[in-house]
Amino acid sequence: MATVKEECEQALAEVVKKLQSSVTLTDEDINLMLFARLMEEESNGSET
Amino acid sequence: MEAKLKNSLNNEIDCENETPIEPLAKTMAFLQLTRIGDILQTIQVVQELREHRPELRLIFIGREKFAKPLKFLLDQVFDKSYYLNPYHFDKKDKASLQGYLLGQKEFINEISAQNIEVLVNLSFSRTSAHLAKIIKANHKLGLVTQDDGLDLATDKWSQYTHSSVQTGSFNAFSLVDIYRMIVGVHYNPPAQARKAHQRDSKEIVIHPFSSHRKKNWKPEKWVEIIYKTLKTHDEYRIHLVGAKSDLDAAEKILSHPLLKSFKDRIFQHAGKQNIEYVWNLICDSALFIGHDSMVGHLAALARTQSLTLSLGTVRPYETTPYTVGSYSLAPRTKCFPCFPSDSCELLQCHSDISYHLVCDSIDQLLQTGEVDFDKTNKNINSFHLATAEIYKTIKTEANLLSLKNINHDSAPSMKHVVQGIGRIVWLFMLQEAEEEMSFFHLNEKTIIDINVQMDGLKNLNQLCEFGKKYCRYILEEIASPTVDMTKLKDYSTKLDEIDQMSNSLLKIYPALRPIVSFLAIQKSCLAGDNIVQMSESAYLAYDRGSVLSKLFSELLSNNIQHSVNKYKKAQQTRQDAL
Repeated sequence: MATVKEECEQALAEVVKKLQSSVTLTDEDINLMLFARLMEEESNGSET
Repeated sequence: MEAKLKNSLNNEIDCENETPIEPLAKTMAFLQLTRIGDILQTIQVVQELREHRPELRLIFIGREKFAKPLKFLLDQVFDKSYYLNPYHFDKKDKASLQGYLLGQKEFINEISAQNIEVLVNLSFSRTSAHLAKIIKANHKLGLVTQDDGLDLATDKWSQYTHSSVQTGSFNAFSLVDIYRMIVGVHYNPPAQARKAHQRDSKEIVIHPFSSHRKKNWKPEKWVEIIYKTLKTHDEYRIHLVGAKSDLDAAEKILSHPLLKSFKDRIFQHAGKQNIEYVWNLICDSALFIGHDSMVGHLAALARTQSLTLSLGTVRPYETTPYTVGSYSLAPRTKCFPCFPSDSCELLQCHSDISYHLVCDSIDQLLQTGEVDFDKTNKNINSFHLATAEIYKTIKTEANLLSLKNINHDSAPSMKHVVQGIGRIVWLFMLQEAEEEMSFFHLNEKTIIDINVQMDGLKNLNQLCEFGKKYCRYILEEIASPTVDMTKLKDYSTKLDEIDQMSNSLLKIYPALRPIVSFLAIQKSCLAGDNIVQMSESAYLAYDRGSVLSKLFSELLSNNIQHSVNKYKKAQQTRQDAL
């Protein structure tokens, strides 16, 4: 899971660059953002 | 030719003999990624929808850990449920990010394949907005992530939720009613709770726990409540319910020496039974007593009368169990309700609801099914009544749930008045519905506080009128034969300044937050693809802001005038008597 987390952070950094350059997000980008949030919330119990 | 005609006629006759094809049922999907209590509130809304629109196909999407324990209830109202668990997305041979993402995509594609007509996102979080974006549906309500990464809601009641529920404590609607208005379901009045004294059952369910330490009393206080209740009502039995994490606190209550002689009438279920067991127990119980938690919402679904002790971060208007004839005790502490992020060691609000008030309320509910304030006033010291409010849930003319403060001596604060007036204003603006409301009895301090906020409302109204003016200038400039881009830029800058000034009003006038936030949300999702359409949309948003501030101002002013007239009349009567 640690590797997945690192991979996720790297991939998210690319999405953030896209957002900063006002590039339209794809469904794949949002799929990644969703996954990152779900995993974070599952690990720290912050689902509200 | 003749052969063709014969063939065609034969086909027609064949069609007449065939069973007509039924049109595919329209599918509505409900996305609820928050906790068990929110899922239960969603079920209450969907039950009503199911009753009046049985032809619809209803789908539920929730987190596995919160929704799966409620499968026995979800299966009663939904045709299909999807349980989200990111750990399950991992394919065995693909223990990598790509593997997880692929699994997640397959899960979402399975949902999208349901041919969803309307997706309703009733969870107000970024996570749910992302999910709502990538599930395919013809129409979407609630928060949805846009292509630029912003999360927006285009329906009015979701926008209201963001501006009034998420940002502060001025909301005066039950969350269940807000969900009903988002979905467009308001056929039935809220269900009536079955009064405790009329039930054959002699079981009382108590849930003395909650999800946050600010929201619940320490176990010792509950010991006193349980002791007094069992001593006064010797025919009743008490059932303690709670999660595994509540086991220690439950054992602490049970092992208290004060309860030693009642051991045969107290049953400890916390950490031992699942939610379905608790549901069956509550259905067969006379009364539920507890803090704000999902067990209270189970009681509402079961139409079991409830008494809720609202403490800490709890907002009674929003989360009191959704049945008519239940009660909520709330402290009058100035800082109540607070936010989870506010630090507090003193927990003054916990002391402001006295054990005497709780015990008296339980006694009255078990004897008559009602809490009568005049009786309470006689039964307990007025000192104990001075620090708490007693709310009863009532049905309104608009078939919504509201709270009525049964303490007719209570002097509302500025916040309560703005909250109450806000209910009339928002219902009128967003739903074109009306409810009756008596004037508040205002004391001098509240009148002064309200007058301060009225200055803010006037300022906001002026800013909105300026906003309309500059939107009009933009439209006029665009319509002119030669468009001056410098002027357009200036007008646009003015609009930004107006929005910044509106925001800065909040530092002095906190009561303006719902209107300012609503205006900001409207401005962030302007309709249209070009500057003309967006300017027209902005004009309408400022117009709404202007109307909202004027309505609030007028209604508050009327209430102040009513109180002043009443005070003058009372003074005159006293003088005449002298």
